[in-house]
Amino acid sequence: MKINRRLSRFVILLVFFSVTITGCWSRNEIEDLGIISAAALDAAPNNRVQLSLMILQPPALAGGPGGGGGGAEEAAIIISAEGNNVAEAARNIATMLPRKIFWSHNRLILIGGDLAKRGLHDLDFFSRERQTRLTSWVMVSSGKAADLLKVKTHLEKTPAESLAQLNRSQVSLPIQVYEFLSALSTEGVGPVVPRVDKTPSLEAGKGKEEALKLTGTAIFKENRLAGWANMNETRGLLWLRGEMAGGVITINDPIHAEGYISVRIRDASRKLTVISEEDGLGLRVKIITDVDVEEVQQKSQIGNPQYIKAIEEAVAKEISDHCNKALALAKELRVDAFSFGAQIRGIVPDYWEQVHEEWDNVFSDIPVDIDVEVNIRRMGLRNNTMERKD
Amino acid sequence: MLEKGRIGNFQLYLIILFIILPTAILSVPAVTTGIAKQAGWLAMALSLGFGVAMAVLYSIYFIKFPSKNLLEVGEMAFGKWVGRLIGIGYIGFLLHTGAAIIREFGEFLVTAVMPDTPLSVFIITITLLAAWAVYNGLEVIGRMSEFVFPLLSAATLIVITLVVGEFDFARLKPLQIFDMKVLLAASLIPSSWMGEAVLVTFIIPYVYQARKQSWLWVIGAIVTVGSLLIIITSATILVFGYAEAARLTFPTFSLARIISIGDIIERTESLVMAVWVAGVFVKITLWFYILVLVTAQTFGLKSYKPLILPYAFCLITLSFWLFRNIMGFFQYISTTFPFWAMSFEVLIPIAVLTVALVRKRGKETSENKQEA
Repeated sequence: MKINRRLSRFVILLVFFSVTITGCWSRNEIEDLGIISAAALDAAPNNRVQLSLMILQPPALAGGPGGGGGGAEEAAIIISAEGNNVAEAARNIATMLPRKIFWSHNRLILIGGDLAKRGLHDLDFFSRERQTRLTSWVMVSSGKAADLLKVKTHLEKTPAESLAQLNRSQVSLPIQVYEFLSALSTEGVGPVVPRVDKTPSLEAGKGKEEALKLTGTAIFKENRLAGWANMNETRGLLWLRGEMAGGVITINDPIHAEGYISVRIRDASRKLTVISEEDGLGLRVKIITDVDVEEVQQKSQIGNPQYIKAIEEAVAKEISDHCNKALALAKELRVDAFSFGAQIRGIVPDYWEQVHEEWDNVFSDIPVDIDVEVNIRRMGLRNNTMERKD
Repeated sequence: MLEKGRIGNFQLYLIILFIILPTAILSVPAVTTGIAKQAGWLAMALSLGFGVAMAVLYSIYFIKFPSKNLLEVGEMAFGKWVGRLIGIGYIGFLLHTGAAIIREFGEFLVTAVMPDTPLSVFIITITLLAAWAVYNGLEVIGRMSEFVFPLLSAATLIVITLVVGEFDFARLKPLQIFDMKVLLAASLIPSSWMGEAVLVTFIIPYVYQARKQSWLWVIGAIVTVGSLLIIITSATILVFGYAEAARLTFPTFSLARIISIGDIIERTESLVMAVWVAGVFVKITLWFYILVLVTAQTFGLKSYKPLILPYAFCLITLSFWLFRNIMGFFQYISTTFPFWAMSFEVLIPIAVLTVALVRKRGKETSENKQEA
C-alpha cells in the first residue's frame, strides 16, 4: 500500500511538472527579433513624432571584419514611421517590420534639433517600457536625427557604436536616459546633452562621404532646447559643472613670440561657494587643476620656475576664458546650465525657497567670480625641448 | 501544541527579516522619498526608531510570557471570548495583507519581467508552493530562510556596491530637516512595515533556545532591516535624485538596471529578480503559516493542516479582488495600510500586554499574600 501511495504521488508530480515547466511562456527566438541598436526621434508635422529605428542585420554582423563575402550587405537597416508619440510610432514601425521590435540592445537615442526645440516629452517611453535601457545614451543633432543614422561609419560597424564610443571622449557631457530624466525632475538642474553632427569624411580624398562628429552641447531649458554651445563653451561647461576629466589645452607660448605649448589635464576639481553681498548673492567658483606638459615647440628651459609660472598663468587664463564664454552664453539663454541652482539649494535653502520660481532670471543677474589655479606637475619624458644648433 | 517543530534564535532573527524585508525593499523607498524628498533616508532612520520601539514591545512578550503566544496572552488578559475576537481580528489582518503581498509579487513580475504571462500564473503558483511549505511546518520554513538569506543579502549588497560610482552626494543636500511633520508622515509607511514583526509574537513558544534572550535577536533583526532600508533609500536618492526616485515604480529594481561596468557587467536585474523571488516566497510562506496557525488556535483546532488548502484558495481569490490595478495597490499602501496595520502592530499588542501584565502582577501579589 505504502509503495503504491508513493508511486501515485510520484506520477502526479511527474504529470504536473511535465505540463507546467515545458518551456518559457513569453519566449523570443533570436531569429524572430529585430534588434535595435539606435533610435532617432524627429519632429513631424502636426506635433507628431517621427521615430527611426536602426535594426541590425545579423548576417552582415556575423561576417566579421574583412570577411569579404558579406561585405556588400549593410550592417543595419533603418525604418521610420510617424506617430502621435513614441509608442504609436513604434507600433507603426511594427506593421512594416517582419520581426518583433527588441529594445534591449538600444544604446543610443538621437534627437533631432527641431523636436528638441519643440519640447521633448518622449523619453517617458524609454523609462517606462521594460525592455529599453536606462543607460542608453542621449544625443542631439542640429539637423534631422534620422540622417545621422544613415551615415556610413568607419572602424565601428554602425553609427550607434561609433557615437557611443565618441561619448567616451573627454570633451563632451555624455548623458544617459535616467540622468536626463533626473535632471529634468530635479530642482535647479538643467539637462545638457552632447551635440553631434555630420562632417566630411575622415578618410582623405573621400570628400563626398560623411562622418559623425561631436560639435558641442545642446543646452535645455526644462524639456526645450534653448541653445547650442560650441566646443570651447562646452569646455567651459565641463569646468563649471566640475565634470572636466581630461583633455588637452593648447596656448600661445607665453615667453616666446611664436610657437605653442600644450598641457594635458590630469586632475580637476571645482568648488562652489556662495558669498552674500549687499544686493543679493554672489557665486565664487574655484577651479583647481593639475596638468602635465604635453608639447613644447620653442627652445625653452622648461625647468625654469618663472617659465612654469608663466605657462600656468596662461593656461589659467585660457580656462577662465572658456568658463566666461560658457557663462555668458548661459546668461544670454537664461538657463542655468551649470546646476548652480541645485548647489545653492543645498547651501542656502532659505534663499533658494525665495528665488526658485524665477531662478533662471535670478541666475542671469548673479555675479559669478571664477578663480582658476593651475599646477604643472610633470613634463613628460623630456626636460628641455629639442635643441637646434643655432 | 499545534506546532511540533522548533526554531533557534538565529532562525527567529531571519524569520523577522523575511517577514518584513522582501517587499519593503521593493516599494517603500519610492513612497517615502515621494513625501520626504531628499530627506527620505532620514525618514527611514526615524522609522527605524519607531521599529525599535515596536521591537521592544514584542520583546516584552518574550521576556514576560516566554511560553505563550499573543493570543494566549490575550485570552489570559480578557478572557476566552474577547481573546477569540482578537484572534478573528488578526485573521482578517493576516488574510488581507497576505493577499496584498501575493498581489504585489505578481504585479511586479508582470510589470518588470514577463509582461505576456497572466498575473494568475504567478499568483497561483507562488500560493500553492507556499501552501506546500506551510504544510511542512515551521522548522522547514526556518531552514528555508537560512538558505535564502545569504542570496538575498548578497544580491542587495552587490547592487549597491556596483552603483556606488553613480553616487552624487550633492543630491542629499540641503540636510536641514525642513518640517518634522513631513518627516513623521513619511516615516509612517516604513514604520508600518517594521511593525510586521508583530507576527513573531505568535511563534514565541516554538523557539527552543534561551527564550529569555530572544528579545536581543528581535531588536537586532529590526535594526538590520532598518539599516538596509536606509542604505537602499539613500542609494536610490544618490543615484536618481529624490524627484526621479519618487517617480520610479520600483527604484531598487531600477538601481540594478543602471549597472553598467565596462560594458561587461550589465543587465544584472534578472539575477536580482531571481533572488528576490526566492525572498518574497519566504515572506508569503511566513504570512500564510501564521495565518493558519492563528486560525487553528482561535477556533481550538487540533491541527492547522486542514486549513491550508482552503486558505490558499482564499488568498488567491482575495489577491485578485483587492485591487483593480497596480496604481490602486500603491494608493493603498501609501494611505490606508499604515493605519490598518498599525492597529494590529501597536494598538492591540499594547492593550493586551498592559492588561495581561496588570493581571499577572495582581495574581502574584495575591499569591504572595496567601503565602504570607
